[in-house]
Amino acid sequence: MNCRDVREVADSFLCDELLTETNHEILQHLDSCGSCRTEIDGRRTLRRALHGAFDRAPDLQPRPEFIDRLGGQLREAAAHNHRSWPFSPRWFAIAAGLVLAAGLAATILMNRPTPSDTLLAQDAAGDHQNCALTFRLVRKPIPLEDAAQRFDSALRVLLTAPPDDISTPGGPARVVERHSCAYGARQFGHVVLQYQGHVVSLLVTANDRSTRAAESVDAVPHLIGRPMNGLSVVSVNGSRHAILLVSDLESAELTKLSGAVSVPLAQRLAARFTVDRNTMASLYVLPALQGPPWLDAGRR
Amino acid sequence: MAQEFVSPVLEVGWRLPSMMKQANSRNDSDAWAGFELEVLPHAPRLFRIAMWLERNRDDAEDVVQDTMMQALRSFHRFQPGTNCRAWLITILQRIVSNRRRAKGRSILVSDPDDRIAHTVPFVPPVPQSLTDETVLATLERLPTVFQEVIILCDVEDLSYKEAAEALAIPIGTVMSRLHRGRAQLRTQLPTTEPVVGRPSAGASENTLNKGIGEAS
Repeated sequence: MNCRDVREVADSFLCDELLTETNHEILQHLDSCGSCRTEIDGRRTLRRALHGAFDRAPDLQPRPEFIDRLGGQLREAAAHNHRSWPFSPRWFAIAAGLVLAAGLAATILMNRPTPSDTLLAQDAAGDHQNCALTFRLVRKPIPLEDAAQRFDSALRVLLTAPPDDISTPGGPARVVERHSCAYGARQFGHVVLQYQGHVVSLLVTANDRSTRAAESVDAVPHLIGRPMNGLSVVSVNGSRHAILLVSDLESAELTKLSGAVSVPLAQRLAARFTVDRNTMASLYVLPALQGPPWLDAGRR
Repeated sequence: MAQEFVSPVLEVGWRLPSMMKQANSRNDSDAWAGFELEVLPHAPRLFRIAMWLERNRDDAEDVVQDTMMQALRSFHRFQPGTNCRAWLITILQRIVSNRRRAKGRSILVSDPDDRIAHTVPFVPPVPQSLTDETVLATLERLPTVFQEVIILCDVEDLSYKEAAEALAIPIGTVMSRLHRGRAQLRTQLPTTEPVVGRPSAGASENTLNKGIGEAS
């Protein structure tokens, strides 16, 4: 190992990230090379200086009362989570057994994700993680209008729907961003929402299951599989598009939000398709749709 | 006297709820004890990361509180024996990231790695005398992405893998950012005059309220 090799792996050496054999080679080199020894010592000095500066800087230390208060809040929250058992043991046992059996059967029979569902959920979770949370997409997001012209005119709907401020049964949701982005082989219309302090991605993409859901406006939210890396995916298969919500929210909460946001959007997209295909027919279809006030306002 | 026969199965079935209740209670108290033991001691170190990233004591306290609450809810997912601090820092980074987005302090696509990939031509030797103020003020001048990896790897002693998970970036990116960040840090360290900028004891925290937005 020569000086150049040592300098190249010096950072990893200091972080103890090298193989034992490589460490030995470096140490052997350092025994006979004063220049590299000085270099490594310098880097080590800087590392220690950083360590010490963070340990000692007064304005980086928490107030003792904050730590005490935090401990109390956490203890209270932990106690609050403790569940009470108000029912008699026998009835509880019977009910629990029945609910468990029914739940298992329902889960197996009704909620089994297909392979295409799973792939779609993986893409959606990946897009949420890389675009909404960490901003590390390989390809740059583009405006919705551009995406509507290039890929799918239906994405234009997302320019106004859902509106910036949405009232839902679980509380207000706020749109913080709208764009189109690509993840894997999919092009998504992407609306980023803030809801209950969480970031939620609303993603619209072409539906893989168009034969099953074509023209349908009575789609219902369904959870796809288990949470992936803590992210749940709830899908609504409306018209020719899948509308997905992705977040680290509890699955039940995300499903509730989907009912308030995705289902009306699916209806809007279905109505748009009907309008595109036959303008006269749409005059009869649109009034029959049920949706929240913001959708009706948008339609007018 | 004939003894009443009770099927062992029925006996267990009858006692199951109370056993579950006891077990649940024990599990809850065990879980809290585990949380108190494993997680709570990290609060001060989480705070200093939050304080560095948020530049404001109230915001930093909010971030640490949110992080701890999230950790409490997710404690069943924590694997004993793994690095608890790394797990907490991952949660904290996600919360900080969400807050930045909510405040409009982040941009969608920007990679300072590309912008400054070739701007570290010469790395001078480390000065002999370094004060805390000098080191912190120089670190504060680096782009945020470099600050993050330096803090996680050099200050918090996270491994490359743990830092990559916390920041949701590839390990290779951690390594290259760490290399460039350290090199830039050395380049910008003053050779003679101490740098004044980062407040020491008693100084106003307002002087910290700059940099994150521009540096992102």
